[in-house]
Amino acid sequence: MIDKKNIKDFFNLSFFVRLAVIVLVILLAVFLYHYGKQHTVYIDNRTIEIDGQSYKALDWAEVSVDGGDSQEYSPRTRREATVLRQKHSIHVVYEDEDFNQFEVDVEFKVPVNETQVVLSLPALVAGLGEDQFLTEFVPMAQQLGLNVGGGAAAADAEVPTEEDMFGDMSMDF
Amino acid sequence: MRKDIDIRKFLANNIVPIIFIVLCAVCIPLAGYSGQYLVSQIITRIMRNSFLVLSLLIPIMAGMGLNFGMTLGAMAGQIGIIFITAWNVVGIPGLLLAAIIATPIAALLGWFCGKMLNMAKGREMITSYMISFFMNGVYQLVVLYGMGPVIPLHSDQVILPRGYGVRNTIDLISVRQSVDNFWALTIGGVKIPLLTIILIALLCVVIIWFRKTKLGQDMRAVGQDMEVAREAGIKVERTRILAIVISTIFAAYGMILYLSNMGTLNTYNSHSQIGMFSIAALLVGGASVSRASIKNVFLGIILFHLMFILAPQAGRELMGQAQIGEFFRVFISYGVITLSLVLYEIRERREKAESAKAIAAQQKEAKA
Repeated sequence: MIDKKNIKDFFNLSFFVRLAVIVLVILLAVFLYHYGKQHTVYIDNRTIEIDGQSYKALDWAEVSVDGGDSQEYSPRTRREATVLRQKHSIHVVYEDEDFNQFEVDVEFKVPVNETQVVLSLPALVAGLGEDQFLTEFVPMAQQLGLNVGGGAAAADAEVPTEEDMFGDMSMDF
Repeated sequence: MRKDIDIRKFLANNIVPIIFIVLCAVCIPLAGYSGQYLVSQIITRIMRNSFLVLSLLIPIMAGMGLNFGMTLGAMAGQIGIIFITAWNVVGIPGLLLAAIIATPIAALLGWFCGKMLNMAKGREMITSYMISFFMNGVYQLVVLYGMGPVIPLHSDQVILPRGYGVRNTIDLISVRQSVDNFWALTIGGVKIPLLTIILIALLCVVIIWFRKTKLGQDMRAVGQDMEVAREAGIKVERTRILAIVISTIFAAYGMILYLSNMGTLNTYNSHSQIGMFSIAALLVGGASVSRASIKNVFLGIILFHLMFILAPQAGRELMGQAQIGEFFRVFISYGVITLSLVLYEIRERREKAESAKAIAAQQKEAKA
């Protein structure tokens, strides 16, 4: 009986109000994470091989992301576009070998946890799926299996010292 | 005669701001900076530090003195900033997310600090100072060894190349001055960040409103006399803990604003002197251990930071070395805290002696 009363006292109106506020703040945090997350999209115009098939680099292309300024691409060009949030659109104008111009508009979604992705222009204009023209960015050193940042480099890296940890009044404020 | 006593009292109550006003008046012509430069620098520093210094007011109201434990809030704010930098969440949404992350950490640390201070009543300032050192060690442990393997953060921008631990310095370019630049005016070459001003004004209004609430009144009662407050049915310990929790959370928000204004996070020492600097600024404004107001905050920031700006240049002009001016400023910063604490103690003892004399006189009269 006493236990029941205690439970009733515990789950009173203020408990549910507090719970609702906590849930709202968590939802706000999730929203802010998605809304403010910045991604770097490397737009790549290089010949690429996907599932054994080769897609040749475009001879000339003009690309604009999310209606921004257009940039020209020649073969083997890679430029970066910094974007906020996940959903984006890309407008590509390109020429084939016979100088015929084509336009492609595609919408894509950057995976939320990927800070840097590579978008392959040849794969995009060939009409491949998002999972094929958009891939995770892996630094060249990592692709080649080089231990960049590890071993000697890590040993040389600036590691905090006691001076760093306990500052003095001479710092700026 | 009466006028003389009033002037003496005024001087005794405002000795610290008067010293600073005189020092600044001497240093301004020596430094030779233009008025526009000084105004622009002062505005930048008011925007950067007001939130931090305002966070000190509530514990003073609750009679807990100067909260050196605000460093705990600063650590919480820094942890929020580290997370959003690692996740690449930019701009104002990033700062809001940092504040959301920092809030529970600051509340938890504030609760812990409040509990400790309740066990050391009457020695709150030295206890909170030591707690900030103790928690600094815990912070170093978490940030230097926990981040990476235990707390999964994998950003190259944040984590050291060895795979664990946060870098000494983190560039906050993605959130730098995002609040200040969101809505700003330029008047006579001086940038006025309106959104930051609104945020600071809002905190001032909240503090004024808070004083009038039931909890605010309870805190004032606890600040005046704990035993009387307890007799009146106020939960003294709980009220004191809440004062520290609120102060720590405000300090966390203040640190986030401070770092976004600076644009760089020194992971291992940005927070370490924040408490000392904020307290020095408040004391320079004429506050004491038991009495502080919003006007003390702004006057203190203006005077204290004017010294920050002027001292190196004045030192260079006078002695040929900017470093001498810096030493002078450091000496003044610590000295002002010492002077305020000593003056407070003298005043307290004098008041006690006077009240004891009055009681003795009353008893004598009653006997006669």
